[in-house]
Amino acid sequence: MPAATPEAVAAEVEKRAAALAAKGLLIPQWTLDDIRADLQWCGRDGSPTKVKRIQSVILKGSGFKKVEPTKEAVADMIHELIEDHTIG
Amino acid sequence: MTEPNRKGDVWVIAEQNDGELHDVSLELLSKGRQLADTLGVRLAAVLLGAKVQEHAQRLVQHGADTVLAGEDNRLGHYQTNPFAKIVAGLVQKHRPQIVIFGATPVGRDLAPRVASAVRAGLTADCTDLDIGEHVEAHTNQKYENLLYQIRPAFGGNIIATIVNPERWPQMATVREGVMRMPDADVKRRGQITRFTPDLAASDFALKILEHQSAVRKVNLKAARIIVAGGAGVGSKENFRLVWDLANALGAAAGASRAAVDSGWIDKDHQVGQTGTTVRPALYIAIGISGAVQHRAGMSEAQKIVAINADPKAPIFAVAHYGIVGDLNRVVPMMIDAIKKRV
Repeated sequence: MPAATPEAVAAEVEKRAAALAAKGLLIPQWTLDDIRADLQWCGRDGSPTKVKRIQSVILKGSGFKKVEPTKEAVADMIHELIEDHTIG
Repeated sequence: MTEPNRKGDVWVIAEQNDGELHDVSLELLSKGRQLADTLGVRLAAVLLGAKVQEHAQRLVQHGADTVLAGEDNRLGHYQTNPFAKIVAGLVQKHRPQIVIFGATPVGRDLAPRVASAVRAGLTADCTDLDIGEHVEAHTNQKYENLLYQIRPAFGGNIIATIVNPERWPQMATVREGVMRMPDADVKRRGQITRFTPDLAASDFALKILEHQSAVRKVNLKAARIIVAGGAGVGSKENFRLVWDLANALGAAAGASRAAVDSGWIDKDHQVGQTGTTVRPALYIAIGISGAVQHRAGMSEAQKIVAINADPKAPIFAVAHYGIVGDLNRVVPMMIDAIKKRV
């Protein structure tokens, strides 16, 4: 299937816009000129801020004390937390 | 556009509501003090309200060298237009080199208005700030003593450092709870400059008819111990275990976003990137996998106990004590041990 020419695309767009306008459904599209936009302030180049650096978040396991899921081991852990005044 | 003032002060925009100074203002002063000392400039706070004298003194005690205190009875409650007009006017007049706001609802509304008014750059939701140099890749131009605005991006999976080399002041909002709040130094002295803002009736486009404040159900930031539950808890009924352990310890109950989204607990209890950032003495994570967004809000706890059935859960990477097991068995064991010992 041959590619549509720019003229054909423009004509189709115009036709569809007219159909929408006839139903009161056409949303007017503002252009940069309409809003008097200064391209110097738009997009990435217009942003005052620059990304200096990107770092991935890496899990740094410093090692934890493994506590067995038993009454005695859990009680010992609680005891340690009380002893070092974390609890209480 | 305001030209860079390399000798300008560091500013903290303090915040008060209902006559109370917001904690984040004091947290920002702590970081602001570091930045100002590094740059060799003064730290100033800007405070607007109906009555500000008492709070201005507190800002000095927490590190401000100077306070610009604007008083007007109409400024008792925040309104966008007058506050933005005053702060933008002060920025244009005094030309600070750095302006930081709390990433509170007020700060998130005010900061972009001010940045737009003075045509400056703004980085939102920073979790750290620092001073350093920057070399522009395209021009090889070197900038000294820029504000590094450090914040998580892409869902917290990366940390981005943002700079604003040219369009000053360098502005940022900073999340609550990520900076330490210093103790007040009651002997500290500073200069408090009171002024009456130049405001017209037309600046107050809105008339506040009624003011209602939702009372937060929990103050996680002030909690010494937090017991938090996540998706692994399984159900709202089972979340009772989290409350029971919290009650046994006299702790606050926290939650991951998954637990909050499941409706097991109110959003006020959420810890993490989209919740509260906490630094308790003890954080007990029950059934919390430890997604980076959650860890961002709790990894600075002094002690972390993680209870999870999955030995590969990322929460163990930040834990001091790790229990791999069924929380339905482990949590009652903990409650029992606490009741016997405390």
